[in-house]
Amino acid sequence: MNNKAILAALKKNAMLIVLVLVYLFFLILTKGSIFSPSSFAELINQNAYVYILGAGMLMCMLTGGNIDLSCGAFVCLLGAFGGVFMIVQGLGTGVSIALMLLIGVVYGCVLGYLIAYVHIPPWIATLAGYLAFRGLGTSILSANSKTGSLAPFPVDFQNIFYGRVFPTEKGVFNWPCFLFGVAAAALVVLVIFTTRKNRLSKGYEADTVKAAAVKSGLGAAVILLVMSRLALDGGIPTTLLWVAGIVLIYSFITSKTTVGRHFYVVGGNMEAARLSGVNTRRIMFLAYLNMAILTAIATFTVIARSQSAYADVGKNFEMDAISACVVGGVSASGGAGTVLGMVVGATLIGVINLGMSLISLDANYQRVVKGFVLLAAVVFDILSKKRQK
Amino acid sequence: MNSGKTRATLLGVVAAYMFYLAYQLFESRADTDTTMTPAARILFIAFFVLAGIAVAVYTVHVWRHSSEQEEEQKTKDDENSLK
Repeated sequence: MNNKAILAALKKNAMLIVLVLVYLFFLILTKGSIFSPSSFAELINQNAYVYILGAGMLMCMLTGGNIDLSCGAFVCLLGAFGGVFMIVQGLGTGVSIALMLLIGVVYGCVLGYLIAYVHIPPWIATLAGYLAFRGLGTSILSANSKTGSLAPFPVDFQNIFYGRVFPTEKGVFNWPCFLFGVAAAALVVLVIFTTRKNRLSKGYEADTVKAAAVKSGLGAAVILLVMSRLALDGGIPTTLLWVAGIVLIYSFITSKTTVGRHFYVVGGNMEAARLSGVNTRRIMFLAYLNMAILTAIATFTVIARSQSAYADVGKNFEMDAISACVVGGVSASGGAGTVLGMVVGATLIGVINLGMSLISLDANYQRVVKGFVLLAAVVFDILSKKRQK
Repeated sequence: MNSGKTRATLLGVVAAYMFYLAYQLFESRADTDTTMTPAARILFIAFFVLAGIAVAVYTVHVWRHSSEQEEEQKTKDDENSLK
């Protein structure tokens, strides 16, 4: 492998390398605490909303750098509704989840219509939600509770979104969890080699056998490492299943479906997309409908983990999702970015957050670090854009 | 809205977030159980305010540039339709 190829590979995987380096940095700083089974579980549970909202924000940003500023406040409002349905009214978990999803769909349709068909700029349309929803959510909570929060949610709701599959005692090796990891690792190897074979058979450029083996080996190793650590923490967190499911679905949509490719085309050049026959309005509508539905799912994981609905829930969620996308290489002008990139970005931010809390870093310094990370990602984006010109 | 303007919007959000971080640091000045010294706090507030201003200025530049490009494209399209 010559120097040019190595340099190109390093550039392509820059964020992944940064993630590994940051993890190693915190591994030393926390004296190994970040490698404990409970830290792995905490990383996934604490940041599940970033992965879920990040997938939605990615689809919005692909259409041309558009964002949703209302998702954090909508989590608060939907959480309040969830609290009223399940705790105050005593409705069943299934019915409450369906109602909350319905509210998400209605909001997504209204937002998508305003942006795609009435042509209100997305940042204005979603800014209205950012300003209004938290107030609405707080009012609903205050009207239904003296403390301003609603708790606890039913056990079955918590088990669905913050439970364990095949639970065992912590410290006891959970074999179903590890075997799940083995299956996932095998699937990754199969997908990489099958994709390579398909590309070669159609005459496209593909990785060499060595490169594919290294990629699949590393991917499988990471999966086995994570699952073996989780196996010592009581089993597969259901949050991980939700996150993995959403990541896989959106990876498939963005890379293997026509509608997924249309998101890239619209973001690359909307006028060219429209003239090519792509229904650009429908794509914009779908982006925001999709974001609202994913916000509903993120709400489930957040309120199940906190076991309550309260006024401050969802604060800064939109910035976390945008940061995950920007850090993960999603272009601010649209048309470029991948789900894997977003996952790497979200994981990097999650590792930084977890590492900082494990070393008990002052909250003010944590804000400073988050600001630096976002600023670095923006500067990197600006410099990349200048180099492109 | 063209992609230049949406990029400018995103940069505008980042600029606003920089000011918000500076505001959060300023708000926490009465916090007694913080390890951040007053000097460090002032330094970081100044840094984030300057960063916010820098990103905001760049945002205006990107917005203006994409508006000019839009105007140029409009003029070209009008000329082509007359031909």
